[in-house]
Amino acid sequence: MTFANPLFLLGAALAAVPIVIHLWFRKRLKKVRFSAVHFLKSTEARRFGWLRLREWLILAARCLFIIFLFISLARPHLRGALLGMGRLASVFLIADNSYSMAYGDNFERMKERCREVISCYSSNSEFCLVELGEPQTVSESFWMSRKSAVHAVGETKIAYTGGSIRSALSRMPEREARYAIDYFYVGDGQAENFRDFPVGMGAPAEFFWVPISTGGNIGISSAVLKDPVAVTLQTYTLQVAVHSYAPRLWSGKIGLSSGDYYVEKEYTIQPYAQGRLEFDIPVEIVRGKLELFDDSLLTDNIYYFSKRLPQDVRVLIIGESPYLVRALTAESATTAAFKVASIEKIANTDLRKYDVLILAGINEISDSERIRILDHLARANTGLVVILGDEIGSRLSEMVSRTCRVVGKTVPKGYVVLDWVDNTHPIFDIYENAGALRDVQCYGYMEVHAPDGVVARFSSGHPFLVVRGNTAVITCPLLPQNTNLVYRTSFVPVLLRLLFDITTGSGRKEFYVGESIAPFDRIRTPTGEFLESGDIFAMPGFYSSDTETLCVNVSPEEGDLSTLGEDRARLLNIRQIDPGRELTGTDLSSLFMILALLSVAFELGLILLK
Amino acid sequence: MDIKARLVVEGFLSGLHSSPFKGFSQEFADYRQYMPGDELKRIDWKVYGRSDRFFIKEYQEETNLRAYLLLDKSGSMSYGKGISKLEYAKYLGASLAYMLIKQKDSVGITTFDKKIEKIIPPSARHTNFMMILQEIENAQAGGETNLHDVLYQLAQKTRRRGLVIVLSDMLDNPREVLKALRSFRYRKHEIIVFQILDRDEVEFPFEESVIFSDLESDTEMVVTPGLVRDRYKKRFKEFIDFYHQHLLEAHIDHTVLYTATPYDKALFAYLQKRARLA
Repeated sequence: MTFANPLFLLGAALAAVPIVIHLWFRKRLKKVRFSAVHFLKSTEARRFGWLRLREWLILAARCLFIIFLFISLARPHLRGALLGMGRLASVFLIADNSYSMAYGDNFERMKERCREVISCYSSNSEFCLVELGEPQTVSESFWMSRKSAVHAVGETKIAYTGGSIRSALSRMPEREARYAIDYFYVGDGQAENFRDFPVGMGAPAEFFWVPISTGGNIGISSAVLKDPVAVTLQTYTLQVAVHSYAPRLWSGKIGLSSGDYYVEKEYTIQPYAQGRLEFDIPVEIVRGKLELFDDSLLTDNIYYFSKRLPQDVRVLIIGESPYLVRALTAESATTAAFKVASIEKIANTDLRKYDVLILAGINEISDSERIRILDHLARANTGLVVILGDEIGSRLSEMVSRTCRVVGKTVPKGYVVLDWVDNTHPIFDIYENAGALRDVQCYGYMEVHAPDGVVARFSSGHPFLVVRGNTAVITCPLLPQNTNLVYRTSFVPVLLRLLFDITTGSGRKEFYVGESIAPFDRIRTPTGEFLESGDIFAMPGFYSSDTETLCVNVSPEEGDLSTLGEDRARLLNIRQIDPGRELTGTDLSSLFMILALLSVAFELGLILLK
Repeated sequence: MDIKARLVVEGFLSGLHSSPFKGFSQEFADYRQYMPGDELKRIDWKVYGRSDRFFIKEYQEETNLRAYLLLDKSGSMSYGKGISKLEYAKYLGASLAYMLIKQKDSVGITTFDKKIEKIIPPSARHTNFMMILQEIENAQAGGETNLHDVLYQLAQKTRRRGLVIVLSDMLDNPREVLKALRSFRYRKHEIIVFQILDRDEVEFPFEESVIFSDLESDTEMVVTPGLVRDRYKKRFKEFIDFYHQHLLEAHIDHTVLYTATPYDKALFAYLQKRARLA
């Protein structure tokens, strides 16, 4: 039995007061020598026995009244249902098995709390257990008995993904619940889990959250190639992003290992901050494991990486564009630049030898060329950049339509400038304040409409650069007479990063747990099993397809252990409870209050009964 | 004690009291018809000569009254407000003794608690009276009550019939006490029982809860008087009424005296009894 207000138990000590008063007055009784005591004895013996008993009973009733009263005020709760008479309801229980629950022993505590919730309900109640972590498995597709629910809790396993409460709520069993539904979520209350929690219509009337306390966390969010332009023939830089969701300064080590190669660095990160750490590693090492020492949430302390380097990217420039050829050709023999080739027309060129095609000012293509280009794009790690010229043919326009719809040539009076760029796009992230394309002027451009994927836009509102998947469209010819961009120092780096981005974008080697394995047909898991198309990555580690080695990590969002908070929970009509104390079925305060009142009634009865 | 007894008795001794016992003596009392079994020598032949009937001549016995004072000095007799029951009994006993001596009657005393303490045989001499007063003076309350047993013993010992005056609160088993008193009656004794009580014993006027400690034993009881008063009074009245009813049936005078009652009442009761006996 537990008490919600245990301090009230101290009041039970007041039960000593009637005893003290009783003994005090008993001691102070006057003694009278009397001659006819045997009359009292003989005639009242039975009555005196009763009177003495009555006196003690009254004293006991008074003491019990005080004790019961204060126990009642202390709000006692019995863990579990009392004599099987717990709360009767249909219980929809969301068990948080997302990977944030791997913090300390939180996952086991969550299971224990789930069992506690279940035990508060009567054996006639029915239960549905849903795991929060993706894929959100439902223990059974129907309402279960209490015993089955307890068993299902025991079978729950930690997932390496996050999850959505809203999504979990949609897993309601088809058969209608027999009783009013009690909704429970048992977990750390990561704010991310409640991002789309329903409010108003469609939201549960009352949603209980059984909180599992959690702590701060340090983890690795990502590991990216710092800059493909800077990759040399010997080394490249891997930029490791570290996040802190901890309230204290953290100092530790981060190690990078790949086979026999191992390097380690000291690192310090401020509370609730994000930082970056760089490793210069040999170009031969393109995959490996990063490990952070030491933090409670183990899963995001390990990050698997697999990188593609620029020297592996083969570029074919189609069309007459000497500026581009010069821009993409390495000036230094030590730079691991792209392999660049150029032709005027596709003709019979074998496009399979190249990873990136650049159509530079080509106005039209034939049907066979269109088909060959599309076949090329269907391969992994390939990309296409179309630099629109003065005119555009229907077949080329149709092919470009995958990315944007071409309207026609626009020649403004004077020039237009680029006044907006997507600073968050990877091709700009090496430039602070996105100054790379600021005030670039263009004299005439092809007007296109793109619903999304616009990376840079003219002051006229029309797009300059549109990137969708592995295809990029530039609406202005990259020639000195059309734009001053070609004279900018940022021109070459941005172009290289664009090419690298579209090829690696289509040929991703790094995934998160919970993502689909498409576009791969068959993948071997770290444990040696095989995933088929339609499956998802279920755990972190190295996976292998027929041609690639893939890395799967947990989503960095799950490392953010910041919780919902009481205020936001209140706004969402979510009530934090301690099931052992607050579920009404096990609240014994009423019982003790009744016992206190019965004690009073008993005492009054004794007093009136002479 | 002597002076107090004199003061109490003053005014009551206005003449001699007739002996209740008729027998041989010089003073003629009455005639009665001869009954079979009477001694022939007691027939008055002169009357026979005049009336041709047999009459027997009866004479007033001139011997003084033989009185036995039985003084209960058990522990319960020590109770009383102002004056204890024992003190009351002592004054009453002394007064009666004085009155009897003044009438030339023989008087003796027996003090007892659970057993007979002392016996002073009846005598009309003044020295005997002084011994009685001395004994009364020395009597101290204490010990348990065993009234019926003591009365049995005394009944056995007291062979010469006389007037037995019991001065006691009679707080003993009434049926046993009654039996013992009847044994006196069986031996032709006349008996007056002065049951001396305190008003508190009858009315039980206590208000606050108190511990009642028995005067004759170690028994203690915590009692809330208000809760038991009615029942106690009823039982005590039944106790007195039992004595009263059964003693009268046995031709034993029973007078309840309270410690606040003037001694006159007791002396009147005695005189009434004495008159009846006469």
